[in-house]
Amino acid sequence: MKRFNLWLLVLAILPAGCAPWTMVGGSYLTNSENYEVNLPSGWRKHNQSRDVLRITRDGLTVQEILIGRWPLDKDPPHTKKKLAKGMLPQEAAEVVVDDFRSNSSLDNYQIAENNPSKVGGHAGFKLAYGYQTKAGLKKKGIYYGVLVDKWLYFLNYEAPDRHYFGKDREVFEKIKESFRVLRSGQA
Amino acid sequence: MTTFVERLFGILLLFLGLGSCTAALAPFGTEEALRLDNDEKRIWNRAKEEQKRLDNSGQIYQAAALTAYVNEVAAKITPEPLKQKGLSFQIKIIKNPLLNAFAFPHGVIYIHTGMLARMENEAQLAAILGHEMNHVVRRHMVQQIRAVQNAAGTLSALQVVLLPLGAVGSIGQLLGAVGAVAAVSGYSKAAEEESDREGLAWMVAAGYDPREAPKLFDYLKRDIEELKKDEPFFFGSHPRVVERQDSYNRLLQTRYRDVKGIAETERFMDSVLLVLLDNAAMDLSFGRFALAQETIEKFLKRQPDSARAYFTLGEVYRQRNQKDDVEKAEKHYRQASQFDAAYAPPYRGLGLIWLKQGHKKQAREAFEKYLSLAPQAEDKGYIQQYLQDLPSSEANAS
Repeated sequence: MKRFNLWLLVLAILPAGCAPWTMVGGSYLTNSENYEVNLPSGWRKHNQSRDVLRITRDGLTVQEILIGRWPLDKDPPHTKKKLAKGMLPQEAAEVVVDDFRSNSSLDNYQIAENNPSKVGGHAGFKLAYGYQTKAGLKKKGIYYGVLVDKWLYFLNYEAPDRHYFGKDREVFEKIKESFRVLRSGQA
Repeated sequence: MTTFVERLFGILLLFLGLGSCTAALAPFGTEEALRLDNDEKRIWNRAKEEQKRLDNSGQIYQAAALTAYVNEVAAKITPEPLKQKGLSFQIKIIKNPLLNAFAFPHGVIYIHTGMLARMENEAQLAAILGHEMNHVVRRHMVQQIRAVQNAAGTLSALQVVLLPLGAVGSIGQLLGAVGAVAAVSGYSKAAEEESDREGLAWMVAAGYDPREAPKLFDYLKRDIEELKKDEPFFFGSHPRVVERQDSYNRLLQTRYRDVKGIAETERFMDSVLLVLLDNAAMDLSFGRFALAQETIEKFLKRQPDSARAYFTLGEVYRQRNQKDDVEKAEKHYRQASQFDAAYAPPYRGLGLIWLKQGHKKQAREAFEKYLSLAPQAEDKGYIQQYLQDLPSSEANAS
C-alpha cells in the first residue's frame, strides 16, 4: 500500500514538473540573466521559453511580455547588422528596428515611436510599433532596450491592436519601471 | 552542408521535375481564342485572389512612371498575334531588395526592385520579362501544378517548405500556393529552358541585343556567392545559374551568332534611377552594406550631385563601422550638405559621429542645425536628449 501511495505521489509530481505554465507575481530575480523585475499577480510564465522570460495573463495570442537579454556578439536573428558595445541608444534602436523590418513573419511593420528612455536607470530606448501577422491580425507592441556591458536587455509587450493592446499597457509600463540590471560595469 | 530546408526543397523540386513528364499544353496564341481547361480556370481564379492579396499587402512599389515604362517594354516584346488573341500582360514592381521576378498564370508579372537595381539596360529587362511572359504563354503553371498533383505532392507541402525562407519566404506565404510555385520554387528545368529560349527570341524580334541576356547572370552569380543563401529563386542555385548561362551562350553562338541589337542603357537608367536609392535603403536595412554601397555608387555615376545619395552612402559607412568607415561617413555627410545645405539628415550623421568622438561643440552645432532644418524629425527625442546632455555654447566659451 505504501509503495502504491509513493507511485501516486510520483505521478502527481511529475506532470507538475513538466507543466508548461507557472503562476508568477512579485519579485522575479534571476542571477544568471542578471536582472530583477516585479511581475503582476495573475500572470503566468511560459516554462518552455528557456532563453527569455515570457509571461501572459490570458494566453500568448492575447497578450505577451518578453523580458530577456541578447549578447552583443551574437548576430540579430533577421538583419545582418550587428549590435556593438559603445553604441548609442539611438544606434542600437536602429539595429532593432531593422531586425523587425527584416523579419519575414511581420507584414506592414510600422514604427510609431522611437525615443530615448531610461531602462533600469541606464540610457536606453523605447520603440512603439505595429504590424500585421500572416493571418491578417493587426498587432501593436512596445519595446524597451538598453545596452549594458556586453548585453542588450529588453522588455517587449505585444497584443492585438483591437481590444487587447490598451488593456495591459499600463501593467507593462509598471513592469518596465521595476526593471533593474543587477550588476553592471563588468568587462 | 545542406540544411533540412534545402533537402526538403530538393525533394520538392524532384516532384516538380516530374512535371516535365506530363503532356505539354498548346501555348496560348496557337488557337483562335484563349481557352482554359477546367483545372486551369480554378488555378487562374486562385492566382487572381493571391494577386489581390499581394497588391493590397503594401509591398507594391508605387512609381507610376517606372511602372508604365516596364509595361511599355513588355508590350514592345509581346508578339503581335498574341496581342490580337486577347492575352494581355501587366507588370508590377515589388519593394524587395532580393533578386526575383515571377509571373502569375493569368499574365500579371512581378519584378523586384532589387532586380531592377542590379540591371544595366533595357535589353536585360526585356530578357527577364520575355522569360516570365513565356511561362504564362506556355502555361507552365498549370503543367507544374498538375505534375505536383500527379507526383502525390500537395501544394500545402510547398507552403510548409517556404516558412523559414526569410524575406522572400514572406512573399511566398503571402502569395499562397500558386504564387509560391512562380516566385520561389520555380519550374522544371525543361520549362525554364523553354522560357529562356523563347524569351530570347522575343527580345531579338523586338530589336534588343541578345548578348545582354547572359550578362545578367554574371551580376547574379556574384551576388549569390556573396549572399550565400538568401538570394534568389528566379535564378535558382549557383549550378543552375551556370547551366542557364551556358544554355544562353550556346544560343548566342548558334542561332544568334551574328545578331546584334539595341541595349537602351540611357533610357533604362533614367527610368530606374530612383529605384537605386530606394533599393539601397532597403539593402541597408537588411545590413547588406556592400550591395547598398555598390548601388549608390552606380546612382552617383549618373547623378553626382545628389545630397540624398551621399547621405545614404555616409549611412552605409557609419552603420557598417569597420576600419576607416567613420572617416568615410564624415566625408560623405559633408559632401551631402555641400550639395544641399538645407537637407537635414547629414547633420544628424555628423552629430552622431562627433558625439562619439567627444567633439562636443561640433556635435552640438550639428544637432542644432539638424533640428532647425527638420523640427519634426522622427528622432528629435534623441537629438533633444543629446543637446540636453551636451554643454551649451556659452559653457564652451567660458
